[in-house]
Amino acid sequence: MSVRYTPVGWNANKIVYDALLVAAIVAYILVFIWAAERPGGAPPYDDATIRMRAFGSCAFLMLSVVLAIGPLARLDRRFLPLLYNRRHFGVATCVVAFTHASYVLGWYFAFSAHDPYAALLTSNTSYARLAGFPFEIFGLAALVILLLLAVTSHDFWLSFMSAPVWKALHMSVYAAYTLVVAHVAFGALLAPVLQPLQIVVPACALGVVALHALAARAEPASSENQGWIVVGAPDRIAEGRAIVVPVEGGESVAIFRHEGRLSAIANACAHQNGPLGEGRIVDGCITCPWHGFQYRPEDGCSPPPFTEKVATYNLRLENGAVLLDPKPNARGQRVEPLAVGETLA
Amino acid sequence: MRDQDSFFVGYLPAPPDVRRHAILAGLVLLAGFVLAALTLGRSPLDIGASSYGDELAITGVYSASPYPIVVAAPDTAHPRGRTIMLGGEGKVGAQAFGAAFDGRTVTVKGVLVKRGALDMLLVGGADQFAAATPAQQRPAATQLGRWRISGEICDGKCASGGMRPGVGLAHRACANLCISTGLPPVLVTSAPVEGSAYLLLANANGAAAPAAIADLVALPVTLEGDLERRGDLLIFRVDWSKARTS
Ligand code: HEM
Ligand code: HEM
Ligand code: FES
Repeated sequence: MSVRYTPVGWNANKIVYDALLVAAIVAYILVFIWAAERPGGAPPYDDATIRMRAFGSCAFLMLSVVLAIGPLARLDRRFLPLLYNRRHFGVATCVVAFTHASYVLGWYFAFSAHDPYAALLTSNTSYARLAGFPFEIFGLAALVILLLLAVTSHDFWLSFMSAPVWKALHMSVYAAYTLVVAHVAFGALLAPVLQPLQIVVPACALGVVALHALAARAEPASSENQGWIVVGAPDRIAEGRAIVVPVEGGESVAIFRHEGRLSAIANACAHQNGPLGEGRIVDGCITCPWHGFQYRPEDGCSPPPFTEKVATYNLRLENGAVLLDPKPNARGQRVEPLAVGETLA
Repeated sequence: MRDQDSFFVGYLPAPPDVRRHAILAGLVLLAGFVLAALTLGRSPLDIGASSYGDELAITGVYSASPYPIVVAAPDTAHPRGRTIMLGGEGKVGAQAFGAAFDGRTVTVKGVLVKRGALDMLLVGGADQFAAATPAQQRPAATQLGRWRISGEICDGKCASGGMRPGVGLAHRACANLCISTGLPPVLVTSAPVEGSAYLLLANANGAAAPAAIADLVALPVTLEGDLERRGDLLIFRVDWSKARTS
């Protein structure tokens, strides 16, 4: 078990993932530049302008994909491999966006007696009007967020800041995406000539919103009974799987079936809040779908030598229905699994 | 939520259908990126050809106002006298270089940046100016009356090929930075005016355009003012309080 249990190290899957990621970025930039300088086409733009457009649009597409991975994996479990190394995708997005901004600063805001950053902030101050609004400022704000996320992406920061703070910080990626859409909407999209970006950007943004709406609809519902939550018949839960039940305060509980017995633990993984209820039982342990951290169903503890713990919850059976006590037990507190028998057919 | 048996654990070999799906997703992503690059890479605007770097020495009368220009004596190719706007190398106007020569006949050396009818001489420093003889007469300005003209305000250097495309909203802040350093603003007109596709912009009193011009750059604008010709260059003395964006 301990040999397999190395979720933070490098492994073959991560190497393939990163190789594909780098290949997609390099292919995008090279093909973009080729298309922009295509002989026989209109006289090309400056090299620097072509590159700032290439890296800017690449960063936008990457950010759209990063944001689509979460809901896609929720809707179809086979997308989980994309989620596995999402942080590398995020950091790569940040590097590409930074390259875009460097070309802008080194071209449009260079060659003058002013510092490029000062020139960026002072050259256009038409904040009061829509046409000609200094759209660069939205890009700058987005880049600051992306840099913050990338810098705090290591698991060290996760444990240093505690999971809720870190998660709140990471949700600001949605603010960054909104800012980038505004950055493009007030800049490139306002050009008087029709161009593909005017279709691609709204399509990506709508796609991201639609996927999140679909994934939210797929979340389960439940009803309450004297404080205890009625979960329903035990055969709602398949062997080796869980259902997820929301409880008060925005938390949720994963109820797993293992060898015909039910156990309830907190749905949030101690690693990065991964959704444990979307995981499986592997080798007798609840296994997180994101990076494979494992927990014993009966006490929510990772098997030795690991020390992660999540809260357990109490269950009982009444009139053939499973009831859940929404009050959590201490993390790692043992609860005897609830025998419900094998589901027949 | 799809119900299926396959489950991916990152540090274990992936089940065959997850593996197939992941490879497929990766390839779709790669193909999507290549396709997007092909579509988005094509330049949206055909800005026409430009040239940058031809060396040129021109002799004529230097005027500092509204912006540095040199008006050469008339010849067969330029019956009104070739007139050229001056700029520095980088984002800097030529005002400081020519300070000692206002109204005098000079030979100025620099490199020419040119797109279509719009051109500008980029001068490296004061040492590229030299007094020339015989002295020419300061050319008289021909008044062409009151005009209302539509177009886009650009910095004369980028629009004449200093940058490509060098026009439009994406380039707005860059143009503002150029104009603020003393490079001449021009109005690229929607339709030719008195045979010219662009006008050098000035204040109503003939001095340089005000700083507030920054709010109008790169937008479709309609300007009103008095038009004059010096040599073969049109100068538009704008009443900026009447400027409108459309
Ligand atoms: C300091 C930060 C940034 C600055 C100063 C900046 C500035 C600019 C400028 C000046 C343009 C116009 C380029 C042109 O067409 O000539 C542009 C375009 C663009 N930017 Fe940014 N940007 C910044 C950050 C970002 C970020 C973080 C993203 C995305 C993650 C982004 C995405 C884009 C896109 C998609 C375009 C349109 C490219 C095209 O015309 O095809 N930018 N940006
Ligand atoms: C520029 C950098 C980054 C971007 C664009 C980005 C993107 C995202 C996205 C899309 C979410 C939304 C939640 C979801 O889809 O479920 C998120 C949250 C998350 N990010 Fe980042 N991320 C970045 C950096 C990182 C890094 C470096 C890590 C590594 C620790 C990371 C790991 C996560 C995880 C695990 C969540 C889920 C939090 C939760 O739902 O509780 N991200 N980030
Ligand atoms: S293993 Fe990373 S979140 Fe669960």
